[in-house]
Amino acid sequence: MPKLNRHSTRPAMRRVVVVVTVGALGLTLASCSSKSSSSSTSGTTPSPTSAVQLVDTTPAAKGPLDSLTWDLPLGEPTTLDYVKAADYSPDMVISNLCESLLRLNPDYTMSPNLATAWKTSDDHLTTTFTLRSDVTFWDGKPMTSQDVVYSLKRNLDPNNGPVNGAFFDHVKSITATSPTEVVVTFNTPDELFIKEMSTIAGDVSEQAFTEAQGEKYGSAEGGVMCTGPFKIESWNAGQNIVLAANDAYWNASNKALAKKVTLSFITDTSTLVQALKSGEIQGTYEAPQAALPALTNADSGTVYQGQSLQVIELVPNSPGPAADPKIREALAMVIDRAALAKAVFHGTAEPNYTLIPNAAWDPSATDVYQSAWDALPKSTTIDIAAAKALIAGNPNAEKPINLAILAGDQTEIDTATLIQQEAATIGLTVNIQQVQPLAFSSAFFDPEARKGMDFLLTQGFLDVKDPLDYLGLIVNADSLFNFTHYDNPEVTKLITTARSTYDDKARAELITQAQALYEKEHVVIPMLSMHESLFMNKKVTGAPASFAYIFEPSLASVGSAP
Amino acid sequence: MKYALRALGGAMVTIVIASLIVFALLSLAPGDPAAALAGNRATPESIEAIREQLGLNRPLLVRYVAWLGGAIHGDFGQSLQFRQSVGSLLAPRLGTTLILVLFAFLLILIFGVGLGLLPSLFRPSGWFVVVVAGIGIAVPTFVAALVLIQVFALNLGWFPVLATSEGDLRDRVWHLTLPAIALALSWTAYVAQITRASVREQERGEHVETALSRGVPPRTVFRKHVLRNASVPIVTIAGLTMAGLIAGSIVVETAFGIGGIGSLLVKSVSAKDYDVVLAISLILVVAFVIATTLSDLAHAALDPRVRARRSS
Repeated sequence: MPKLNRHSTRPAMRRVVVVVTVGALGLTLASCSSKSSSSSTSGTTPSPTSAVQLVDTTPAAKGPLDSLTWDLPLGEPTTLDYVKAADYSPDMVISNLCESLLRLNPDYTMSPNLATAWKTSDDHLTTTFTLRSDVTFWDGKPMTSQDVVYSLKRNLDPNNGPVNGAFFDHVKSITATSPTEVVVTFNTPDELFIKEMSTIAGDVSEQAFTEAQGEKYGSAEGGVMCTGPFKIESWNAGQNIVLAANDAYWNASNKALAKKVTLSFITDTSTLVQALKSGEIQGTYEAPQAALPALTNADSGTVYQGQSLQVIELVPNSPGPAADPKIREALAMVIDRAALAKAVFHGTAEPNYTLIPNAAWDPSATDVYQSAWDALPKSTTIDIAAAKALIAGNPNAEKPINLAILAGDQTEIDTATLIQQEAATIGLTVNIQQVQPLAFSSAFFDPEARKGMDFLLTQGFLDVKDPLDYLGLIVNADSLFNFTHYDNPEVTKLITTARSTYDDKARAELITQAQALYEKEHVVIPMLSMHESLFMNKKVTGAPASFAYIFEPSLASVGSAP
Repeated sequence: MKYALRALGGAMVTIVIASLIVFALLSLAPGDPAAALAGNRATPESIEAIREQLGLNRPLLVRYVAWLGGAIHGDFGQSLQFRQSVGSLLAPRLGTTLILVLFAFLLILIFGVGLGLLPSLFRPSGWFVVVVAGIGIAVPTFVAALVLIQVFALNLGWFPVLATSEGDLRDRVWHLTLPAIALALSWTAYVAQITRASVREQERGEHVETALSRGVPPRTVFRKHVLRNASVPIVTIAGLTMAGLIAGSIVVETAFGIGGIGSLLVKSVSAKDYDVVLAISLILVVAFVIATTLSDLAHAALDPRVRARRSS
């Protein structure tokens, strides 16, 4: 869940960046999103509180490109092994090289990919994937069901340091039953599994190559061997990764439009802005918030906003004042989320009042989620008196609250400062504790490392459009990020049942029942749900604009603009 | 010969002590590299497996000795974050940093010394040199970088914003021009001031006045008596400059998005990537030793008194 270091490598120099002009953002975005509605694949998601219209894709490309330059969201990837990839940059690069069994589309629907069909038995304990027979790896060898079984099983071997091992928690066996058929059996039904097969956890890599490379697989020296629309031409450590179009790609309708893509690793915000303005770099996802005013006014291209499954929240730790639900509730009441979204995130985020972002709702069960959302208390008007009354005489309110944030990250510093001021209005003292990136990521796994921290300012994301992908990490008694030892057997039961429930509406009922219970205790303090921010040069177009880009071949559809 | 041996021995001791300190300090910094590698859904078991795999569970001293043993044989270990050998990780970056530093060094020598000599050749320019040098020293490198990019890359379009290039040496040098200027700026100003002061001191020296009063042509006096004597402190400063530039490249590499060893050092320190940090520290120490040794040798060549002291 926590993508802790989202900004860590775009360091402190951002504060030198350019002048702030908030107003212009809405205008430019409104005009650019209307352009994209003509594109056949684009859909729009209404955004409840802000004027910004979100788009799933940018206008379709007109023709091919000789070369494209793109900046990776978080600097140089440390690995391109789909099993070890734990970050935006590696996820994005891998998803342009390697393919998963199912394809994730920009509107978060799924379609056939390496698997043409998948069928789950009536008892939900067996899923059968039918594989394409015409897929070859870049070296010309055909993809077999053995490759698929081998690739999936790599996620289960602890020696690989698998990042998504938890996706396979319910899996009993993975076997090839014919050259074009793979069967996965489960100990208990798991409705999430099939969705997760559209992420890099469902990627297929060539067995012979992967075994030959061993430890080196996925590194600059070892490389990867996959089936996707691009292949690695070179990885120049410290400089760039160059991708070349895969001419033998099986999927004629999704062939790469750019012959060559140069992926740069610029992590400094001002350098990135200057390179995007000059056109030397033609696009980037996760455009840094601090750069948005400058990029919105840039003549060289356009900022697009799309739906995203990213959230920003305060995760409490115990012991200490944050372990007290009343303190959490009072704090949640006075955080002005709208101001935060506008002033710090420049309109690229929306107020959120529950653990799960609205973007994660199952489309077929929107009404269930919506009525649960409507029933949630929301601090749209800040009631200081009520919040004060809530903690009057509470000894925990006397204790200073340590808020841990990522050191040197201007967006987090601004966010924390706002929280600090708002907490002061009800008599709570908040100390901002800047933590180095490595120590911060350790804090999520090591109780010793998070000692003394009361809240961790956390940026998290869901891998798939399903609340359960995230809930299981926080609200169960044994959840990884349940630092306050929240334990409600009713919630655990509802969520466990939901994971075996395949009907979207029935599952939504269970999830929203659990939500009513855990939100009463304020297991975390939700603050914002994010939009994806994409900047793209006017000479190119076609990139998906939603956060789904991290798991789809996002750059294959980028071509010349009309 | 004896002198060279002594310098080498000193360098070795420096390297061992420096690497031990770096290693110890790094291990004291908070955070577990394995947790960062394990990703956002890591379980304690998978973090433990990664720790085991990377050898992070061994005692500190054992790890240091193992690294030292490897380093002696030319094996600088493995990068934790990139999971590849430090040698292959550093080689391309070292080339980039080397070109940048040499380029900047050349600029410093040409413009620093040139600017310092200007008032002697053309007297009214004295105030100008003082002002320019003052500004050069006062402007922080990252501000210079921003201004240079804005003016010469974005407004005038003479140079690219980004300094990375896949082309031949000429293309790489063209890409590295703005970074080299940004890097050279404050050192140029410093060298200019040292040159100016040192030349002035010589010009006022008795030996110069004597030579002039004896009717030796001023040009000859300037070349043989002023310049030669003044060059001793300049050469000393140049040696220090060279070493300082390698450290200064960290800021410039970040500002221009250059993948050199400076930017890698920053990234590796925050990721506690021991072997990479050690290898880069080693490079810095070696570069420092080479630069100071070279300037010592040049010093000896220019100053007969030093030579005499050494041979005795």
